[in-house]
Amino acid sequence: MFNFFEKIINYYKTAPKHGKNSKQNRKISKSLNENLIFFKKEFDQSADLAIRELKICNIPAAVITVDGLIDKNMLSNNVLKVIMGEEFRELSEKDPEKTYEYLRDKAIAFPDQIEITTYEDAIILGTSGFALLALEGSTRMLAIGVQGFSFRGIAEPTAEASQRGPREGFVEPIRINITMIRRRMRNAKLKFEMLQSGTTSQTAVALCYITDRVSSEILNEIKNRLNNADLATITTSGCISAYLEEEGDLSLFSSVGLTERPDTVCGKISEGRVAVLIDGSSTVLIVPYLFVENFHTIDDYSSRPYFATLNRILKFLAFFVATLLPGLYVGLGTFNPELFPGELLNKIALSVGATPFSLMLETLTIHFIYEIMREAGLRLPQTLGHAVSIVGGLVIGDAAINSGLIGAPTLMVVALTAICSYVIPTLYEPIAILRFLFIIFGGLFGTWGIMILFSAVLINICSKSNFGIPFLSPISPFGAFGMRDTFIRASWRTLSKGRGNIQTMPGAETD
Amino acid sequence: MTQNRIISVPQMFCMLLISRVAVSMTFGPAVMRGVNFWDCIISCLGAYLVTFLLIIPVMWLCKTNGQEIITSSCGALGKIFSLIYAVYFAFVCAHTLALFKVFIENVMNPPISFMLLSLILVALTCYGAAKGIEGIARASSVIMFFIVFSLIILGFSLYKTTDPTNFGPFFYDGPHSALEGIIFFISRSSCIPAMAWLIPRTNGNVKRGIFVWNTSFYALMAASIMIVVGALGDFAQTQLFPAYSAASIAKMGSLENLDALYLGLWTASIFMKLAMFLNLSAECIRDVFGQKNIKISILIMGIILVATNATVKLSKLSSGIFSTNLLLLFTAITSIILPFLMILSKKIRKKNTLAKS
Amino acid sequence: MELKKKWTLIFKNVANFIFVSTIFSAFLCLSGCTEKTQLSEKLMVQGIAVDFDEEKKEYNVFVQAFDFKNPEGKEQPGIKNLQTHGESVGNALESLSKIVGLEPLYSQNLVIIIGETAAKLGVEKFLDFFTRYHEHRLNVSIRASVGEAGKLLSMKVEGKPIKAANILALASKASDITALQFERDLKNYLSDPILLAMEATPYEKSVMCEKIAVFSQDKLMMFLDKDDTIATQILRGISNLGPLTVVNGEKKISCKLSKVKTKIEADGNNVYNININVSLSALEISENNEEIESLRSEIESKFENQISEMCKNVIYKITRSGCDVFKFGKILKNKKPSYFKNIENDWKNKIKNTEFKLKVKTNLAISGLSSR
Repeated sequence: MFNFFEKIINYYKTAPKHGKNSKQNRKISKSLNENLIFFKKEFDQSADLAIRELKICNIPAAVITVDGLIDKNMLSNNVLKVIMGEEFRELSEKDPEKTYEYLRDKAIAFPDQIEITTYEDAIILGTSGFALLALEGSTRMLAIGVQGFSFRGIAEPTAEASQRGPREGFVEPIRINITMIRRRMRNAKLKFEMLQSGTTSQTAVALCYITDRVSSEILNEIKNRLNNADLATITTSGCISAYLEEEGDLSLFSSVGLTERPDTVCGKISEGRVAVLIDGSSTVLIVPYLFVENFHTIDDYSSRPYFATLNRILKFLAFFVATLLPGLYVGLGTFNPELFPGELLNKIALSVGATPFSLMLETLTIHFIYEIMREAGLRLPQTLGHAVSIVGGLVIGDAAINSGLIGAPTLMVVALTAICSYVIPTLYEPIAILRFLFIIFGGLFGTWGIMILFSAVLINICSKSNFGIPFLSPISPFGAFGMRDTFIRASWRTLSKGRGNIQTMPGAETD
Repeated sequence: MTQNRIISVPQMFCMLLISRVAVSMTFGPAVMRGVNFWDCIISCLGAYLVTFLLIIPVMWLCKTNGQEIITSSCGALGKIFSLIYAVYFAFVCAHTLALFKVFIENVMNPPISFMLLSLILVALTCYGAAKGIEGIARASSVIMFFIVFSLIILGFSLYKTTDPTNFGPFFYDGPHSALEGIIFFISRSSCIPAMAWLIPRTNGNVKRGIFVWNTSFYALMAASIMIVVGALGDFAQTQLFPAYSAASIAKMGSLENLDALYLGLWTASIFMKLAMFLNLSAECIRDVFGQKNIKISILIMGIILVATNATVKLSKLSSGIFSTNLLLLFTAITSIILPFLMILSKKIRKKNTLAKS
Repeated sequence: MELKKKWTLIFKNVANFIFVSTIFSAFLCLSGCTEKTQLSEKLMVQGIAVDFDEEKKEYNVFVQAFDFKNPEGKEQPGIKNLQTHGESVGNALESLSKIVGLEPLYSQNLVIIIGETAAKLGVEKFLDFFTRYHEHRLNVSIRASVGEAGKLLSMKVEGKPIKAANILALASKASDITALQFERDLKNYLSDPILLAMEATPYEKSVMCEKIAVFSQDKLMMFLDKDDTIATQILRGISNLGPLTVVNGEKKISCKLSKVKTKIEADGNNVYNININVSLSALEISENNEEIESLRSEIESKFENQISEMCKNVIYKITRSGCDVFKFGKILKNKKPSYFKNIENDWKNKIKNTEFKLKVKTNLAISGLSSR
């Protein structure tokens, strides 16, 4: 945790170097009154700004804090009690600068205390949970690390559950997340680099990488993109991830990875990737990210390679089924029924004969209903979510078939598609959109339309690259080395041989 | 004007192989009449050797030019050459689209307006072309994998229906069929001119690539002819697209109707070929007019393609666009005459500059 | 400048609106949504029988199809038998949609049965209809019928209409002739096709398939009886055949013929070596097994003689009528192309003088009880 503050100190020392975010810094005034007026004005009498005025050796002083971000006990016991104690009254020193130095070097024993000279730094540290000690007549302020606020405890990540892997997931405060990574990587080469993003929110963003693994080109490009990000407020990781994509990239697929697991982050950064931690978000971004990584889960690396390989193949199959099956069903059913096996065609024809809608309209409708129900179940409290599933599963599913509104094969296709899309949760969004597109193309142009759209999507994925790394690597451009962890998951003895850095991927345009 | 070497040799040859397979898989009475298919196996061998000879001028030209665009060393004349190449590549696109049209309207005859389908096809291939040759090359290698995989499946599934008595003697009716076959294969070698434009952007051992590409293409063709003749016998001679007919009888266990596999992959191949030639054509136009962005040229090309396909009737299309002689002439111009002219022009210019200095 | 920006923005918005509404309306109007014939509106043809009415000089076509609008329970579609006629088979079948109001879908057709009269008249006239369009699968079985084909397809077995699938099951897949195999032999100017032939059992209680129809090009020449049918199938290398019984003195031995391997090679000018290898598995033996073991070679030679005799008979019968169903022409052409080129035009006469050396080898397997 202390490292974190060192990083912050380093950051502020080098703050002016950080391009766009470095503004013209205003120096702290000698007059305490002026300083207090500045804070009151800047915070516009905000309710959480707390200013405690006091006297140290008869020098007027003030402790400025933001309520809720500090540990009040720590502040009063370790700071206020000391500076308001007997020994200070007896101190004959009247020179504010010397008193400040005495306070900084002898009186207050805090590992994380920062000397600040500008208002900008004072605001940032104040809003980060530091107590600012200001003295009349001194142009310096002492920021004392008394942070303490309540946050959600470390829990198992809900979106990336694991059977055998660790059960720790990231939380919202960035410093806790940094600690979680550091605890797993006891390596001096692991570096956290603090940046700030969002002109209004001034959110702390940390780049996490291993210095001897990361490509300097990729790192500089990431910093460049983050510094040029024209964002006012950063509320989620999604805000930043858009700026980490290639400019003008309209692809449905994202080349920025998301994870809630510190172990995943450790694995990724050890391959030369960079993790972007955002304060207030439990999701960490990973760049560069490849298409095949969507098919990797942490459990793949805990199971035996045979089962992990089977799982990989299943996931790839599930991806194709989830994307193409409804489209193919509609396309073949409408234009090329002769391509169905006889018995299957009979079943489909029987069900279509009993329903009033065309195959395309029927499939589209059920998909819409399914997406609506999914969204409803996702946003509602868990207890209500169950109710939605009952309504969805029983009422809509069963009743729709019994009443002859929807055919059983169509419902079966939708259900299978839905289950398959859950197998690769990170690709759910593009799959959902592509599925609709394939249904429409299949319904309007049959098999031809599906293949044409498939080719276009393939070119879209193939032409995509981020930070000079082809998105579809190592499938295309093909790399035999990367194949050991793509369609198959080789054993750990094989995986541990040779360094598979991201910048050594086939087709990579970076060193 | 130099270019970045953005694609690898295997990628380029995957792309070229697909574009050849897309057209050659449709060989049959639709494009060659009165030819004994069995003799086409000999044609494959002949065309294989002739292709090596045809590549020499292009290879020579690319060697002298290095990473520069092939027409860049010819001055103003180079612009005219680029324009000719642009027209040729556009013609190849039109030819491919016409082939697609013939197949769809004559064989499948689905209740879809071809106009609408070609509009969608061209619109999406324009998108593909605009994404750049890199994306097309990478996508082609993925499609290539599927093609090889499905051909193996088709080969195995048709093995049972093969009748060995269908493999008759070669040259039974004289060498006419084999010669026709060679001309057919050579006339459709649009890959050679394409190679002239692609090699400067390719990274790797081109010579080995050419050997593998040429060998695998003709081996693939010979294998396909063998499968088709073995399975269909003389019935193949009556089919418009015998390879499709052979695929339609293939079955694997309870999985019947494997022609869906053939149809899908063929459509994808057509897509890749159209995208590649549209991109090349737009690159040529960029060289002529010096635009920065090729997207507009691709769009204009696409519109022209759809418009010509919609306005010209099928009968006229087949007599003109499928004429082997016309295609042979175009191939000769773009893969032999123009490269030689460019080499000559470069030598003369070099001589002149030496004389001046 | 500001005004220009404003107008550009308006133009962009309007263009986007027009684009989206065009796509939306196109989506609603295009065929997939509304106009396309749905599966249930199609007449899914299961079997077709073609007869020729010599009096009216037109084709009578019987069609068995699935009726999805009136299913047999929840799982099975209903069966519909339809009859139509026309100057050509295509004509007759196309008029089906006017009779039932459904568009025929031939891709699921299981069997085409050609009636005797239509077969004698020549099948090439109408077979084209079944092989030209991609929807008619080349894998569909083609059978001939002794007498009227329509009668077989519309026959009722135990009060229920016979299904095309049941008719198809009467012969093994290995011995069945598909449209492709028939066309392959037909389109080759040297060889002649054959078809499995079906006929009604006595009193028209059911259908059986024990004969073969031999064609000379596209015209029916003759029907072969049961023994000739087995011999023909052996000669064509059909591996799994039915039982064959030989009489050994007073005792009878029935064996199942399997793993038939037939090799026909040209040996000289229009002389062929025919080698047949057959595995026999004993089905029913009226002997003591101990005796059988000692008589194994005798039984094998009995079977060899019988098969040899049957094959000789059928080869003579077929070749003397000028038909080449065993592909002698193709084999000779492949082996001796220069010789064959001289006799090519006269092949139909030359086939009548075909000579052959037949060698049959059997291998008896006795399984089951060791003694009675």
